[in-house]
Amino acid sequence: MTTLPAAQAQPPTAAAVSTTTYVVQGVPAVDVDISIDGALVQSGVAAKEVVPLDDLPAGIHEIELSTDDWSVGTEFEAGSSQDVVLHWPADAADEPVVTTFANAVGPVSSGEGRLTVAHTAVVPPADITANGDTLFTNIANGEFVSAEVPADTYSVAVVPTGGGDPLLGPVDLPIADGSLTRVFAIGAPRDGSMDAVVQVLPLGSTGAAPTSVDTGSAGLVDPAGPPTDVPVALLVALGVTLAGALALRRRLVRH
Amino acid sequence: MRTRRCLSALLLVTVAGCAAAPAGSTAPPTPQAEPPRVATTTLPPSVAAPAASQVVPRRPALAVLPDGTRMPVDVAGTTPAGALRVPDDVTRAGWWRGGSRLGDGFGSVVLAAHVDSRTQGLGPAASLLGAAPGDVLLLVAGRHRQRFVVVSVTRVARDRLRERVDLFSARGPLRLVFLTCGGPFDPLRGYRDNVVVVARRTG
Repeated sequence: MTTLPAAQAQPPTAAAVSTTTYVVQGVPAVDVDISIDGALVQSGVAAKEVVPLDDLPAGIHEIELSTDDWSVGTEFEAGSSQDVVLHWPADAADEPVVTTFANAVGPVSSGEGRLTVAHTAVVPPADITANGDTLFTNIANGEFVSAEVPADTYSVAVVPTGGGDPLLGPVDLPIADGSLTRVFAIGAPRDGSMDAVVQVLPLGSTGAAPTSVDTGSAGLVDPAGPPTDVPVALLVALGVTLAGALALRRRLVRH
Repeated sequence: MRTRRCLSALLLVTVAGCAAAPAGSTAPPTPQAEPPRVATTTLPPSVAAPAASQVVPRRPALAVLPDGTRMPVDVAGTTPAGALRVPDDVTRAGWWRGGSRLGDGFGSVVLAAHVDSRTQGLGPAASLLGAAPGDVLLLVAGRHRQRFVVVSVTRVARDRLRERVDLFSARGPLRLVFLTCGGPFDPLRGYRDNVVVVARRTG
């Protein structure tokens, strides 16, 4: 199994009106020149490169992406954070298309990362599996799916909806605590160019776990309430998960 | 490569019949885009949509207890010291904003409500002290409705709740953790224990 390396991008700036746009070159085997609002930003951008555009003023901008064989241009809106992706459509075409993906950069639960997978490849609708389980289903070219998952390394694959051999992967994908991990599936099976662009952005946290819950002040309930949780608490202190602790306690109670 | 592009650009300019810059003028050293080798196709703006199968997680807005009592749910943060800000009104529950939502795949959906208060008396959460494994709670958020089946109802000393990191953990399949108070009561220090209801997602 191979691990997908992540393209580390600049974090968004803190200024009120600044935006961050990432141009993702998702067309295999060509070098692309990128212009924004008529000005050349970078030439010879290879496939899978991510070009950050920091502090682009919020609002509508023009982008032009060119090779010797084709040139496409479109408009996109710069909000707080977005990926502008050059990619082939679902079926064979003479020119690629450009799709803008807004990044959800709000805070995430402590211990979790936000995973977003975008379908920008020359394949029909597909499912995403993680550790063998279907995480998302029926994603078409130009669409994306998102989930917040515990920080871990997952074995991720893209498989055709309705079954068949994996179109991509399985590959090991690390999801870090407090991160947005964006995966763009690109390329075409017919020429063996199926691949993935992985981009990681930092996220804030929705907060550490509560340390106390004070929920009562009148002393009206029977003090001999539910059983005290001593055995489970001890098991947890030994590092057993809650599910494991409950299972162990059920076995202890039976014996 | 660069020479070839410049020649192509000149060819395009010549064919189009445009006048070249007059000889002797000084070109400003700005990063002007060179004309592309082929005409640019203008594409309509295209913004990605979430797949139709995408579930948008939503925080619960209503909790229905096993005895049928309906409790509106408010968002609850924590104080700087880490105390959960539970709604004062005993008929309302607080949802910890750092926990999971309906539609998330993992972690605890954490709710808490006062078991009683001096001004309102016993609250709906008092019924949870008599809940048993198999009882059902329902959480609602707009069209999201999710049932949870009780797996345990136990007490944890309040000053040791912070050790129960599993209750607030993002790991493991989505579950409901509902906290209130119980056990011995001291007029100065309040209840000694938290009552903890853990319920797994079902249906």
